[in-house]
Amino acid sequence: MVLFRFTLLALLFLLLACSSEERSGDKKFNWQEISGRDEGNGDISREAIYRAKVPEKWMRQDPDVMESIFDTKKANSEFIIKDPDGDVRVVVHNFPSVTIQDRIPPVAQVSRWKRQFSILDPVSLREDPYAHGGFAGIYFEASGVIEGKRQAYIGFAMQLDNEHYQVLSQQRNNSENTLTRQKCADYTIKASGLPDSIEKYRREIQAFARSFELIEEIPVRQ
Amino acid sequence: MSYIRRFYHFLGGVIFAVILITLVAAFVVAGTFIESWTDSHRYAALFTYRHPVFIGMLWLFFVNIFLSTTRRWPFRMRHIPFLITHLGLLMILAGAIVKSSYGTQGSMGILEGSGKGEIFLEDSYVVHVEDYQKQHSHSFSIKKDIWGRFNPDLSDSHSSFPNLNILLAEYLPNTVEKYEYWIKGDKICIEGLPPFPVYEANSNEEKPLPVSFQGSWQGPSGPDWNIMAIRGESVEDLLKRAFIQDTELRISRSDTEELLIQLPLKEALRKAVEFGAGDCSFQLELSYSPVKGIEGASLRAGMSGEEILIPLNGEGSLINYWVSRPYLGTPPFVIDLVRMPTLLFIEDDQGENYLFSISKYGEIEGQDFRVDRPKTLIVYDGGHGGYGFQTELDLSIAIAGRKERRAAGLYNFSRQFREVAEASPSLAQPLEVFRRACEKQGEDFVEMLTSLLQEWDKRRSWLYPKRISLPDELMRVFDSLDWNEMSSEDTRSFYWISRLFEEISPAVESKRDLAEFLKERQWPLIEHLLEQRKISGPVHVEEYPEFLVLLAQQVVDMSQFLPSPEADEELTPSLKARYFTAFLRSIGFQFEGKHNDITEVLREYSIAKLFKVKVDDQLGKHSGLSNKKRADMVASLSESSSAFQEIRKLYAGLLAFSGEELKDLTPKAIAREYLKKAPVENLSLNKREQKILEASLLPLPNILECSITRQHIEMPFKNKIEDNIPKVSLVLSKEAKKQLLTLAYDPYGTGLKWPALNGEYLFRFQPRFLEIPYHVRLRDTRQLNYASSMQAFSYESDIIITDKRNGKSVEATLSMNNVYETWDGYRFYMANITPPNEVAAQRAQIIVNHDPGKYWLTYPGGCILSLGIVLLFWLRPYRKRVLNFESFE
Repeated sequence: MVLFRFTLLALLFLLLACSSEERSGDKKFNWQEISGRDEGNGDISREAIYRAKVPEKWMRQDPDVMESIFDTKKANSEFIIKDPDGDVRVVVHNFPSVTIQDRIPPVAQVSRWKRQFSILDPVSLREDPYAHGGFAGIYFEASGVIEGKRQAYIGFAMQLDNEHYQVLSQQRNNSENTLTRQKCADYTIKASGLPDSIEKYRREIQAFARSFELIEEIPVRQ
Repeated sequence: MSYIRRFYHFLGGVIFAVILITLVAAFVVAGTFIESWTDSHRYAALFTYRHPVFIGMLWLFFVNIFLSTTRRWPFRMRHIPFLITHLGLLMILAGAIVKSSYGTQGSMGILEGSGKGEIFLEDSYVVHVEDYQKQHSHSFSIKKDIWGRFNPDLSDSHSSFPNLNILLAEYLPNTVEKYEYWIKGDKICIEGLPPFPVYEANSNEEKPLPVSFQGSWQGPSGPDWNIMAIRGESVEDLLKRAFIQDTELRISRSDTEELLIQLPLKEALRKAVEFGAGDCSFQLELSYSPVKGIEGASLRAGMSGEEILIPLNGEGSLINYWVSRPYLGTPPFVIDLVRMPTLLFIEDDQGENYLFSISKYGEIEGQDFRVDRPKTLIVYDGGHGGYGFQTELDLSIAIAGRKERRAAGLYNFSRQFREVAEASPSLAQPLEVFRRACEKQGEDFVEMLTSLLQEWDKRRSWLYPKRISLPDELMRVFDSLDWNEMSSEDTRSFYWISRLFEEISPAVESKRDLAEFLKERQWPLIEHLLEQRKISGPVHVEEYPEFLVLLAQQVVDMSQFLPSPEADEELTPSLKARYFTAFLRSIGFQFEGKHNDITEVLREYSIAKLFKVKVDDQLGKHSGLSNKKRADMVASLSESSSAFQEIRKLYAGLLAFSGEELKDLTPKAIAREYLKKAPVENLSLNKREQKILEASLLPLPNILECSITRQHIEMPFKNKIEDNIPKVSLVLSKEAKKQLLTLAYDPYGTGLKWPALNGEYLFRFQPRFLEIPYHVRLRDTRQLNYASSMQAFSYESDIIITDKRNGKSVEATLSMNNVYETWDGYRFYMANITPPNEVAAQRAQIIVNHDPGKYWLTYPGGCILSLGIVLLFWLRPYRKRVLNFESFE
């Protein structure tokens, strides 16, 4: 009987000791805001529209605040991951559009990346559908030779969901503003570096891209 | 009285308890079977846990336990465990009853990136109505009576819309709603054009596909188009047939543009074409997928080991690429396609609409229009005028064929190179020497370089041929070019690179493995060169440019150890051009002729072409003069001369096309612009050609528009209720106006509201919504699959939950086994993700549950019940009775 009581008490203790709470991991990142582009009309001010969780050790290099980045060839923001085996460069570009038809399909962005390789290792090539934060597009991975050097890319070519685009466009029609145009923009994130370095930081890059989103929530159609 | 007592004891007795337990068990068993049979939790819930009989049984359980307790009256000390246990049971049952009566259970359907602060209640059906001013809105419930019959009159219990009567004419449990865009039944409807017939695709491939309309849809000045509307199973087959049936193939010499043969594409695909240079076979690659579109559409021509690729879509479309010798420029013969421009509408067996535009040069653009979500949406009068859809066709490039694109590519190169050259204080030594030679001859450096590229491209040679003479102005430039102007080290490396590339030239032109060739010739640094490649195997054609850059770099690195150039060699202008092109090869230069923003480049090229032709008309006939010389002539004109006045007028006119502004309109300024803009090639356009070119710069309508209508297809009822989309047909009336409106259920209540009664009201058939004190933003949702499998083992959603009452936010991740619960008992858990993969932004269905009695009844009841059970075992109040019984025995 003593054994039975002891067992009962032990089971009760075990029950109370169980917890479904997850251990909180090491938080070695911080939320950072990334701005859109200026409109190229002389006013070079640009507002922060994106945010992402950036690992603390990444070095950020934003374009000069006095410089216009209306030209979409210029990056919205750039991060360098310093590594003794070779740095990794992560660049964020956005591509604002006037109408939904003006947008560059993610497939075209990926084709452009592929063409940057003079020799592309077909085994390393990966193109998967990818969606988060209201954007959908393509996850791209490849390695090969660029300008005579071994290089690898991890890229994300993203486009705002059509339903979101319509809702935001509706807002833009009501009160024309550049912020909404920027929010409707496609964006790309591309990490480039030596294949070994890219492999080393793959998870960090993927986590960064997964966390990349518009700061403001996109309104829903009522 | 004894009957009452017997009934009281029955209600509180063990027999009644056993009956109830049996019935509940039967319900639960039935629920389990129903759920496994229908694969529907909701179906099982409706017939078991949410069934009124089941809820009634909970009440009876409550009565049974309560009365069984009161039967022990008066209570003794030994009853304490028993009482505690029964109190716990009563509290749990009370909690369940409170939850079923006052609790909340609903769902949120949130698209990634957005958020919601309200839930919709499952199995609730309302017709939501809004008036024109959007001042009033109301949700009319569709209710069933206890026999399951619908109450047909929805409008009898409201005051917001006193004159509006809504009667339920029909209810169908499952339907599919499809949006109709271009093709509506047997007609194709485009705004501004009469409806045309849609034809069924015939299976006989020999029979041509019918044309629905022939004429201009771009206004009176627009060109004629064929519009075809076909319904068939395979989009790809129909596209191929429509493309082939009208297309003619033209083969010309690339240097003189002399037409060698013209024949239908159909014939060329069937058998090899003989046109003097040998048998040439053709292959058309034309496939379509909703994800990749028509990427990769191309025509391939193959002849004795040589291959030409003509992309039919994308950046480099219509340009003839010499695939087997990509480094040799334009192939010896070029292929053009000609046909009637066509708009091809296709409806597949799923009702999806596709639109392809095929230009008169055979370039194809394609779009698909999904039946469930329109890509673009035009909202007429806030939805009260209905909805429309439009698509923009990229037709600005449709007017340009292969020749114009190649020329535009060269023009674009010269423009970009000029920017680089003007921005760079110094260029590579050979380029600097070339620049100085141009200056000596009074020629423009960029123009001469572009001109050389054009000549070189025509020669189909790895390096510029030794014995082919150059055009006069280039001849003069190279004649005055002196390599000795470079430093001795640069001269040595340049000379030896040129000699080396000269040596390699036959190997390159015969497509040999360069690694093998260099080994044969005992290149001393071959091993190091192969190491630098970092890949093994033969050096093939596609690797030539990279490989030769590495080889040239080796020469530069060892230039100080190389002997000086041989002085006895006679350097003719052609030989100097050959060495100069060797230098261009050594830096990896290869002119491909394709450009990213083809629309913009072609437009700028057309403007520049028109400008050059018109200025040349004013300057008079001076054939053979370079642009620099012509620009000098413009600069020397007197500002008051009639020729300059005319040039200034037409330049100002062209500025309007390009949207540029030039304040300085002096002869010198316009001469500078002329030099910057004028294409290198000699142009001669008659008045008619000039007018056509001018007209091409004026924008023609390129937008097609249609109204969106809906089609409802009745479907069999599915056992899994969640998968059914009910449909209602409503008879709406207000005063003299009457209308029948059919609406499909919008399960998330986020779709379009449809107008009725002349657009006075908007209607949507949706679930009932309920505001909750939390706002949930969905950041990301994903399906986690087993390794190397598409089978999901979990779903996850990253959310931000904000308490509307105090604005505090928390981040949380929901998954199949991870529920988030707020301090006041709102529980959020994952239910579903659509689509399951990440081909589009995903929508997560999050279930929200709130049980108001949980903390007061259910959880304390559970604790009390556990305590009671422990005490029952611990104190064993029945032991004494058993012992007494034993002693009685």
